[in-house]
Amino acid sequence: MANEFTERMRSIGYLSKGRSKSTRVKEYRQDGHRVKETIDERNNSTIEHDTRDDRVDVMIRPKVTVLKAEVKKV
Amino acid sequence: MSWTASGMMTDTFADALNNSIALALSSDTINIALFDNTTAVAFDTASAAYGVSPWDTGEVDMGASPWPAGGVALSTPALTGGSGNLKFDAADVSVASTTLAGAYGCLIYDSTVSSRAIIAVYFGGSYSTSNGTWGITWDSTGIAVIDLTP
Repeated sequence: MANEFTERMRSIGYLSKGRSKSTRVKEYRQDGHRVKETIDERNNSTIEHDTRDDRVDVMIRPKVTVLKAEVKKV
Repeated sequence: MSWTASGMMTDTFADALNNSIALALSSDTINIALFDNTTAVAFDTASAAYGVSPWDTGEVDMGASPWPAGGVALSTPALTGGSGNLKFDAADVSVASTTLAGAYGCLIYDSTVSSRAIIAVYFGGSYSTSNGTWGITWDSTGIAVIDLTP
């Protein structure tokens, strides 16, 4: 009988339809405390700190606003 | 209309090019103010300006430093031309110790010239801080680009 844990491990790292572009969550340590960073589908981050004041940072990454001129024939 | 897209203020650019207002986007004080989703965002308002409808409703601020009403000044704003484009850019924004709730977008305006509105940037959703840093990392190609040679 296959070890359930082994089967689960084998599936890690392989996504048949590629990596998801939806929300991603990263957890790491920063300045001695735990941090949870949630990156949404627009690539903006909400960063929660495990600190007494429950600090929450935001990092917005807007795409450039592009306007195109157009010369029309009349 | 609430926030659905980013864009530039048509009447401000028309007035600048008609020499009706003396915009100097590389040397004036250019501010960035945050707004929630109750603001009736519009790009064709005559003489669009911060503090004037629709930009008199829905501002997100702390009422005092570090993020007072009216927002904060952008560092090193610059309007440059090249490669067929007109590009407006500035240094990234990073303001610590903010508590700001429910910002959907920001208005970039010239506080030197009657607070004339220049660009509205949509964030794509609601964002908030709590005792934390409000950061904006502008696109590497600039905040806004007008392609004059499409």
